[in-house]
Amino acid sequence: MTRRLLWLLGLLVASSKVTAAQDSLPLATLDRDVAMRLTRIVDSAGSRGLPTEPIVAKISQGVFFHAAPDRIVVAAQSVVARLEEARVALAPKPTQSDIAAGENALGVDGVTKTALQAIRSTSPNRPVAVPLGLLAQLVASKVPLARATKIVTDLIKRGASDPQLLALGNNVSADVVHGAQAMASLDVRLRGLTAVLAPLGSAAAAVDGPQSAASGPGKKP
Amino acid sequence: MSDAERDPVLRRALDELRKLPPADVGAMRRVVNAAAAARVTPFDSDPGILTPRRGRSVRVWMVVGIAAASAFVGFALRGAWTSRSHAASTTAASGAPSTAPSIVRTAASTELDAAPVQQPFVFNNSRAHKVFVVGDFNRWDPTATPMTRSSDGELWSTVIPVVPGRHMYAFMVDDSLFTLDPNAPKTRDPDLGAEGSIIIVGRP
Repeated sequence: MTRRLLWLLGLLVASSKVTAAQDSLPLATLDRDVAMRLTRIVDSAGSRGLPTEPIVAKISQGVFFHAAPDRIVVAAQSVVARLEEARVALAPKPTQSDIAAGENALGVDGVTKTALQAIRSTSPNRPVAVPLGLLAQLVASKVPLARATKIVTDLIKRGASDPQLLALGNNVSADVVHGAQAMASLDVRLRGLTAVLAPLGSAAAAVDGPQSAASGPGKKP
Repeated sequence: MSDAERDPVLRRALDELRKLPPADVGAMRRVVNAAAAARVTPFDSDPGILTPRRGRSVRVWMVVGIAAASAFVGFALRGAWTSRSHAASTTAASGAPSTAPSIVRTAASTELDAAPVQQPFVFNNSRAHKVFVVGDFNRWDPTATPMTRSSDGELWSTVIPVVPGRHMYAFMVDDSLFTLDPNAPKTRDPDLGAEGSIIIVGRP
């Protein structure tokens, strides 16, 4: 009976695996050659330990928007390249969601591998999906990369939690949607956040400008 | 008496399985993704695989398979959690200083931080007949995530599990109208050039 049960469970898992594979790529509308190329891209990335969900999501997006097949292939290859770059930048032990967040950030015009490395070195033992999301969103909102990187790393150093980083990013985004300049919104929102955070070390505080992440109560005059 | 009742090992396993919490959607998604990533069957060996949507019988197998796999995952996690709790309580009881609890906590919190978060989406449109949310979190499937109309007919909303990070999304109104979220920043996809709304998701 035990063997029969194990066999049945094995069969169930195997069937879910095959079905998942069938459902993993929205290839029905693509020709066979393109579908094969995309499948190889996904399989190859997976075999190298990269998260495949961002690639599948990109392919799905291409299909959803009726993009040209060759463009979908190039887009998938670009995602793989960014995933590789993110994994290197977030070494030594990035989680799959870290790599995916790094890939997303690198997709924002202006975000660099160096910025990812700066965030990883500031937060070596914690997931960085939210800090990277904030960095990407700040840069996408036209905050210069150097400033955005410093803001995020300073906030991490001062012990800002993911919910606080999240609130900052979404509040600035909401302000921008309602017509505010990103920099102006950021300055106001940062003052509110830094007021409740621990002071930054004096070295970093001295480097910071009056409207930066370090301009909280801990900053010396 | 059935075989299951006679076999003590099987009986214990079944008892444990019966105590499991309800299947978690996030866990199911992780299992499906892991299964997809582990695929070894060459794509071109089965032309039928080109069709992502299958018939009902395959769906049933999928649901049963996912449920079984989720049960295994839940069982394994439960065992890990039990052993962690046991380790922590043992350390606390003995009073001996140890770094083990903090290591365990870091690993657990890391796992937790990367787990999907229940993310609400809200859209204001009183004239729509049906609204779906689409985005990278549901693979841009225009039928995957329907939104529910509020009682006053003004708002559409849904809450779905989304992994922490920055995500692109939009709303599909009445099956055909692609609409950005007026309350979220816009972005242009770097690879495809398509526009979408942006949200940063994290644990509240």
